[in-house]
Amino acid sequence: MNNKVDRNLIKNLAEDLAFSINESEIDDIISYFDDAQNLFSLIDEIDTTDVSPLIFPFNIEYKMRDDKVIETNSSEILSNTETKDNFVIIQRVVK
Amino acid sequence: MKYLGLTIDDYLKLDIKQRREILTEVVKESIRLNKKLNAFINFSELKESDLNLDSSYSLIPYAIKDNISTKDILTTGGSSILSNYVPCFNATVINRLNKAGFVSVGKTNLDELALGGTGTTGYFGPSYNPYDLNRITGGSSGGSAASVASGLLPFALGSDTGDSVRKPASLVGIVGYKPTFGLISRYGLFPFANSLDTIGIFARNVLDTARVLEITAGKDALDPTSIKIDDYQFSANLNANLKGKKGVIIKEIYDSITNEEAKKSFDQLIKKLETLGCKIIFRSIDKKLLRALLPTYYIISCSEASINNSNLDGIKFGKRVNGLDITDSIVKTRTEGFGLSIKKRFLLGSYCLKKDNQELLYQKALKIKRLIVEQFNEVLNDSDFIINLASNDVAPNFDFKEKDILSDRYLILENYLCFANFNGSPSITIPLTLINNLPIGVNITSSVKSDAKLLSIASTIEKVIDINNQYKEVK
Repeated sequence: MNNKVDRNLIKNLAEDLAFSINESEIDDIISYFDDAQNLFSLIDEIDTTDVSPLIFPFNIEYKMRDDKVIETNSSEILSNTETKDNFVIIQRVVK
Repeated sequence: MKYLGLTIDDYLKLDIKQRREILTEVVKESIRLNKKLNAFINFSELKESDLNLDSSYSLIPYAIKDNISTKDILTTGGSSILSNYVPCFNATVINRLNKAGFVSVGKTNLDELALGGTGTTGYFGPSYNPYDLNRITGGSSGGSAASVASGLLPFALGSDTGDSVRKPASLVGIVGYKPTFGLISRYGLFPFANSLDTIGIFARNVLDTARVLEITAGKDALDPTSIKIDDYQFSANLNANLKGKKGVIIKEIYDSITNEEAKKSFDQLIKKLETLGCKIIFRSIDKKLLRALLPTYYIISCSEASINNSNLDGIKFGKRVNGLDITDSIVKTRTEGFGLSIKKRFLLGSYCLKKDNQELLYQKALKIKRLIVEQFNEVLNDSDFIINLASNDVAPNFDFKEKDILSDRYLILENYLCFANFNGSPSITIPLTLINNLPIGVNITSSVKSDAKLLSIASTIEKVIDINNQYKEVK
């Protein structure tokens, strides 16, 4: 793996994931990453030259919907909406 | 009226009045026992107008893992971030069961968002093993497992991404079934790792499992990954004649067994199967690939989970923590809403997907997945089933911590079941024996789309083992 796992990396990853981590939790997370890296070292032993990645276990036929893309001006559409704290207020879906 | 330990078959012999009386008792007892088992997160409010009284399965109770969407019923995923989430739709599997007349008693406990294997990491606390309340149920579908193993319910739904139905089934002594990938629609299942996720079934015998699969299986227009198969007659074609059938024990998995009592029981079973004319042979799979199963699973599942759960931000649904602006609100919501256990997995997933690591970890894992699938498929294409212990040991105590994560026992035997999520195979765990009054199961897996054959073979093996409708009453 190319990135040294340290406090900064953990904080940066958390920022990417849109949550924060307490300072007190970081040592535990680094220890978890150490275990994971020990596990991940096992895949280094396997030669995957000329092997293609496999995502789904077998071929799945996707049928796309016949949607049509229509250009719209979103600011115009939302211009009459009620807002509060930068949120657009909409009717509750589940009552 | 006796309600504990009733199978679907038992319910079918009762009239509607008797079933109604039992349903009332089952709900009452489920609530009472929940103080001990913590199997349920919430209970259904049964309304007369919602009950379907005209079907053969009318008023037969069951439970639903709380990561499966239920219309107008709280569905938390075992997470604080969804602790107020009430879906406005049913998962397809729920609509099918409702239509057949089954009645959900409640939503069951799980590891947070199903990302766990112990049944202990959920926001609502751990579920407890009916055989010994000091022991885990396994997970992530721990609540569903406990609700069936305690004899309260004839069946429950779970989800299986690595072994989350089949492993707990082994630890609580019941049947746990993972169907062929896509056989049961996943529409309405909270995605954990969508290339691996399946909805699964817990029951106390193979016949009930087959009945539930008959009702829930089938192509669904709402799930493009759902599949059609040729044969949906699962319960009518049980009790396969094993004469001439070919079973395979993977040598490296067998050699990883360290529990002598479990090994002895497994060996005895194999001898009995051979007596019935079943040919059991040992086959090898590259040990390096078997030892790579767990890291491969971890890389793929954590990577997919980190992305699949990015929609949990408190904006569209779920619990929201207000902030200075939208971004601040999202960060605060996710910080408070996720437990540390799943934050770790998301962090690891995000790490595997980082530009610098993607080729070395995520892409490499997908390539190894192909190599693993090819080797297992080669074995399955040349045989009727693969059979091995479902776990090395009985359920551990809550304070258990794995000490040797690089041992063959842990890497291979305790984690091999995920190969069936990699190749999409149907896979079933059935009870094998009790060791010091604690259950342990055996797992049988067959080729993709051979669910009918697998259930038929498993029903015969269940008869050979002679454990049917096993449960542990909790007082």
